[in-house]
Amino acid sequence: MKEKYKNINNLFKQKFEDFKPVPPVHIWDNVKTNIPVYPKNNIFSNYFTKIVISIIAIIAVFIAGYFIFNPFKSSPDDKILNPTTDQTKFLFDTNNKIQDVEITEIKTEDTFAETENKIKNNYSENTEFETFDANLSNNKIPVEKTTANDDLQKNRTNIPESNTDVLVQNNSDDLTPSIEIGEVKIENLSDNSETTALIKTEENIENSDTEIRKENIDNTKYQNKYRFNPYFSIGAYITPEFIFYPDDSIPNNQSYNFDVSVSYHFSNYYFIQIGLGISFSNDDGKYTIDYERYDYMGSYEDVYNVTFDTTPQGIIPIYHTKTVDVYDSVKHISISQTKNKYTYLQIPLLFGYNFSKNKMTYSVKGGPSLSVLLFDNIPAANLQDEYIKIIRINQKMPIRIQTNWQFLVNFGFKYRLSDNFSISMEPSLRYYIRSAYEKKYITTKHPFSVGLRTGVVYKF
Amino acid sequence: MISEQKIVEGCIAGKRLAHNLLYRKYASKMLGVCMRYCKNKQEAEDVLQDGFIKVFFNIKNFRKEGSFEGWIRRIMINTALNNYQSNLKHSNHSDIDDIEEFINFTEHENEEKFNSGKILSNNQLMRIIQSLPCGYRMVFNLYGIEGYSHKEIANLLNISENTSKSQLSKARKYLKKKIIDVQQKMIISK
Repeated sequence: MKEKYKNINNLFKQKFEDFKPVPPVHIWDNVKTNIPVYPKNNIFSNYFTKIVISIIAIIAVFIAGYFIFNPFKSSPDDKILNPTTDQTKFLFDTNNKIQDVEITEIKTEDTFAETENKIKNNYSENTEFETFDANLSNNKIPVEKTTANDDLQKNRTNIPESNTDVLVQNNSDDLTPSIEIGEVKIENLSDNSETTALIKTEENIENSDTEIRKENIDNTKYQNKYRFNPYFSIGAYITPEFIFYPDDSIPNNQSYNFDVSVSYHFSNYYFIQIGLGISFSNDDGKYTIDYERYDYMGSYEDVYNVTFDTTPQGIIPIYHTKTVDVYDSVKHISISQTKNKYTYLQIPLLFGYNFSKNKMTYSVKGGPSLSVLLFDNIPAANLQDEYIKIIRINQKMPIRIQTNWQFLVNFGFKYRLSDNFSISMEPSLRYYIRSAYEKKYITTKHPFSVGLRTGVVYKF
Repeated sequence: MISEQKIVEGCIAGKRLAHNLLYRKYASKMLGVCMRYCKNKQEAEDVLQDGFIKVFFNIKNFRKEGSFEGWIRRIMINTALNNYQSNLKHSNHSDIDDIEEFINFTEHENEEKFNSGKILSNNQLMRIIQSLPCGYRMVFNLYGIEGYSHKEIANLLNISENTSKSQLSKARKYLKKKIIDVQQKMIISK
C-alpha cells in the first residue's frame, strides 16, 4: 500500500519537476509597479565606490587648490613689492662705473669741471637721467636723487684719501662749481678757499644722503602699509537649510550641512573659496497599502461520513466529522510611514568680493555647487501581518536623484575676534538647476532653498 | 551569465534590472508550483504576482542559509495557502461528496491499471490535480510533493493532523483513479 502511494507521489514529483509554463507578460508589469522604486543603478550605489570617489574628490580639491593658490609661486608683482635686489644690483653697477670714472679722472689729474662732466655723462648714459643739464645760472640741476646720491656716497667712500688730496691740491685754480646731489646747488667757489668748498660739498652730500635715506624709509613704510599680502583662510561651518517646492505638494524639506572651506584672498577685495561638505536630509516616506486580510471567524464540525455500529442496545450511528475553519476577508488600506534618509557630498566653488570696515567684513560670493548622493536609507513599506493578500502598494514620496548641480549665493558678515579668528554668518540662497527628485514625480524643475551658514574662520 | 548571488544583491540594492532577471529566472518554475495549489491558471497567476511582490519586499530578509529557490518556493506556497484560506468561505463542499462517491465506486476496479500513469502529460496531470477539492489539493501538494509532515501541514492549514492524513489518503485515491480514467479515455479515443 505504501509503495503504491510512493508511486503516485513520485509520479507527480517527476512530472512537475520540469513543469515551467510561461507566465503572461502582464504579471511582470503588475509586479514591477508594486515593488519599491529605488534609485537607478549607478556607480554611487556601491559603498566601496562611494568611499573611493569621496577620497578622490578630496585629493582632487587639494591638488587643484595647491596649483591655483600656490603661495611659493612668484608673481610679477614681487619685483615691485621687493625692490631691494634689483636696486642693489643697479647701485652696484653704477658705483663701479662711477668709481672707475672718478678714479681714472682723478688719477689723470684733470680739472674738476672735466671730472664733473664725465660723471654727468656717465650718469646720463647709465642711469637714464632725464636731463642733467646743469643750469649754472640758476644753480639748480634736476637729478635722480636716490641713485645718484647713493652712488656718490659710495663713490666718495671709495675714493682713496690720497686721491682726495690730489683733487684738493690740483684743482685749486679751476674749482668753479660744486655739485650737490639731490637738488644740486652750484656755488661759485672762486672766492672761497678750495678746502672750504670741498668740505661744504661733502656736508651737502651728507645732508642730502640723510634726507633721501629718510625718504626711502618712509617710502618703504608706505609700501609695507598699503601692500596686500595674499593669504589663506579656513572655515568650518554648519548650515540649516529649508528647501521649497513652489509648484508641488511636496512638503518643504530641511537639511543640515557641515562643511569645511578654504578661501584664498588674492587681492584686497576678491577671493575664491572651495569646500567639502556633508549634507544630511530626510523625507517623510509614505506608502499606502491596499490589502485583504482573512480574519479567522471560528470553526464548525462538518460531518463527512456516517457509519452504524450494532450494539446490544441497537444500531448506533457514528458521525465522522472534520473541523472546518471559517474565515472572512475584509479589504483594508494601511498607511505606512517611514523616514527616508539621504547623505550628500557637497563641493562648492565660490568666487567672492569682500570689504572690511572696522572689525566687520562684508562679503558676497557665488558659484556652482555639486551634490552627490553618497548614502540613502529608504525603508520598505512596513506591514507585518503575513496572512494578508496585498492588492497594491503605492509609494507616495518620490525618490531623490543621484547628482545635482546648484547655484549658490552667500551674503557674509564676518566679525574679527582676533588677528586670526573670526566668526561668520552667511545667509545663503541655493538655486537647484535640477529638481532633487525624480522628474516623473515632481513638476517643479527649479526648487530653491534658503539657509543660514554659521561658522568659525581661521586666517593664516 | 550573472550569478544568482549577484542578482539577489542587486535586488536588495533595489535595482530594477536585477528584479527583472530574478523574475525571468524563476517565474515559469514558480507558476508551475502555484498552478498545483490553485484551481486554474488565472488564480495561479494572481498568486504568482502576489508571491513575487512579497519576494521583492522581503528579499533583504533572505538569510542565505538555504537555497534561494527554496526560499522563493516557500513564499509562493505560503501565498497560495493564504489564497486558499481566503477562498474557503466560497468553497462548495458538494464536490467533496462527489469525489468520495467516485472513490468508493471505482476503488477496486482500477487498482492494477495505475502503473501506466506515466504516459500522461504534465498538463493532463495538472488538470487532474486542479480538479481536486482545495483542501485535498493542499494536503497532497504539501505532503506528497513538497515533503512537509502532517504536523507542519496541520499548523499551516489550521487543521488537525488526522484531518491532514485523512485528506491525503483520499486525495491519493482520487488522483489514482482519475489518472486511470484519463488513460482509459485516451485508449478508447485511439
